[in-house]
Amino acid sequence: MRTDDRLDEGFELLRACSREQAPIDLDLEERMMKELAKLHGPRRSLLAKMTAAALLVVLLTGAAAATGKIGAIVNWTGFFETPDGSAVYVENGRAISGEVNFQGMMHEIKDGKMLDENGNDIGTVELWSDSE
Amino acid sequence: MASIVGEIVADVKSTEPNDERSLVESAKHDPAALAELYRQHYSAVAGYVHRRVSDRDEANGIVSDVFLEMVRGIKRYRHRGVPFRIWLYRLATAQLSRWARRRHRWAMKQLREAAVNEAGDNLEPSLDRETMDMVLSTLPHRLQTVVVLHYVEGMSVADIARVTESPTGTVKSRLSEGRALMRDRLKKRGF
Repeated sequence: MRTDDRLDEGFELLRACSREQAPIDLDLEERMMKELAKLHGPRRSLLAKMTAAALLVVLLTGAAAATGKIGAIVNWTGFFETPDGSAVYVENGRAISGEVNFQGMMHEIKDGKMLDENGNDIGTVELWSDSE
Repeated sequence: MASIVGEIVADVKSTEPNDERSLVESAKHDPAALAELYRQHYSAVAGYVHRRVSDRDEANGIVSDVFLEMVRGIKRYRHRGVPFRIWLYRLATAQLSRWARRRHRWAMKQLREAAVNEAGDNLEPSLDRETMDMVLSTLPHRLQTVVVLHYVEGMSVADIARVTESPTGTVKSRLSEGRALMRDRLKKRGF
């Protein structure tokens, strides 16, 4: 076989690598959202729009059903900025990633769960409107 | 239950991009649009990187770097006739260049050692991915890029010119030079 043909065979070999559809890397997607939050979150002046005031509501695991919530859950996707300037990525009203200061301690939110300092899932965080 | 008072600072729900240009503009501040853009292009970029880098972990690291660079750099992107896909290929090519530079010296050493080991062997060696990777990696980087984009990714000369920001004539001559060098190196190894 001619060297030129072997070379084409070699290229075909390379084309065949990873030809199958690569599954979306969800961890990377989350890292991208955090990166976007880092770039835009605390710098409100750079952000496009500001809408209604809202509350981030922490629902602790095992706590009684959330009574006395204010308003209604806000089915919204975007960044929520807390008063101390940290950004939380919210998807359909539920916090997916970011950090919140809760009871004087910073808690990481990862994959929609609020974690304690040992990485244990202690609850969820939701976005609720502040109107009655 | 406890609440933290704050404000919604980036409303994204109202954004409904109807073409790529508006999707890219939205993705500069809108996580939903950014996620959509990522999902649209992930397969092409990951395929490009994985076809070039056989080590899975190393390839995954490069793919991550490309998309994180996309997030950091998307504000700088202006359409101006360059499709977003081409811009992403530029980012991926820049990341692959760093990897290729590190690998070039290793590949040259492998080529020399292989030539010594195979001297006197009359059997036609089998052509595998490792051999192709090694021979590709011995090319000067400017040649590697165009050869991979054309012969592996199937990209047209015009698109390669946009990715590499070079004239089409330069791309054609690099393709020809790269192919000739690879053929020569394979021939010396008995192929």
